Amino acid sequence: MADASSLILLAKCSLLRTYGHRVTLLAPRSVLREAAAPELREAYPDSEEIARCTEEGLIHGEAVSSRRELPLALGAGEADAIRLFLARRADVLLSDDGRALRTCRLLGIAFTTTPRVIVDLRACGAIEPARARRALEKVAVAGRYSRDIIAAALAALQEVPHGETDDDPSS
Amino acid sequence: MARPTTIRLPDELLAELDRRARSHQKDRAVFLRELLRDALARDLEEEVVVAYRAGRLSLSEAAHRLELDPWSWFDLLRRRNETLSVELEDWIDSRSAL
Repeated sequence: MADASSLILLAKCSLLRTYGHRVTLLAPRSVLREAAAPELREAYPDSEEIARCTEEGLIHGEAVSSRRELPLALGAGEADAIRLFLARRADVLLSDDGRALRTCRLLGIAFTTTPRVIVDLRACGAIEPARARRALEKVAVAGRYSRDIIAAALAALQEVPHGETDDDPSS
Repeated sequence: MARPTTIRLPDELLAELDRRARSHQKDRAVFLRELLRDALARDLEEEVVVAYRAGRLSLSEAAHRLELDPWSWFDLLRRRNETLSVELEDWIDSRSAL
């Protein structure tokens, strides 16, 4: 289950498609509107990639019927992602918003973040080390991740054994 | 609707206002309205960024308060050299999803 922050960051570092091929990626329709509304696609080309991945079935958009109260106030998309996570009993919530992650902690929800996804993709051989490093750099610069977290992610990347990859730069 | 109002300004501030308005070839009232709008927008932006930084607003709430989409919020963070509100503890506690 993903919210808009992570769909945007994965699109910015060109790994949304790669990730979508390896997991079942769900997102509330409100999140898809936040990240890839038609009016955004011209201004933000990466937004087009989110829309394409949705059209191709790599991201499954779902309506959210639950209005369950959450312990912290969140934006509409972030709250819907957590509500849908609970309704669908999803495995992990993917978010790059500190307040959404704090809500996950309060509700006992397992969560992950874009830098962790990048390390995971490298660990399972989906991407080459250089591509993983480039993605982390992009997440730092365009994604505004703190240098502490990027340094920790780079350290984790170095611990990944160098093995074969099925990396296709076009994917 | 524009309504007349009265404020007291020190002489030197009024003189500076008129000098700047002349240099922009604008009427004093027009120039002052523009300055006020810009200042109010900057003030709101500052308030929202501080609340986001402190974790009192989520990313999409912060963007919504400024009538921005989330993409523009990332641009704003970059322009202001701000970072995401994700903490090192979030990275440490994040779980592998593959």
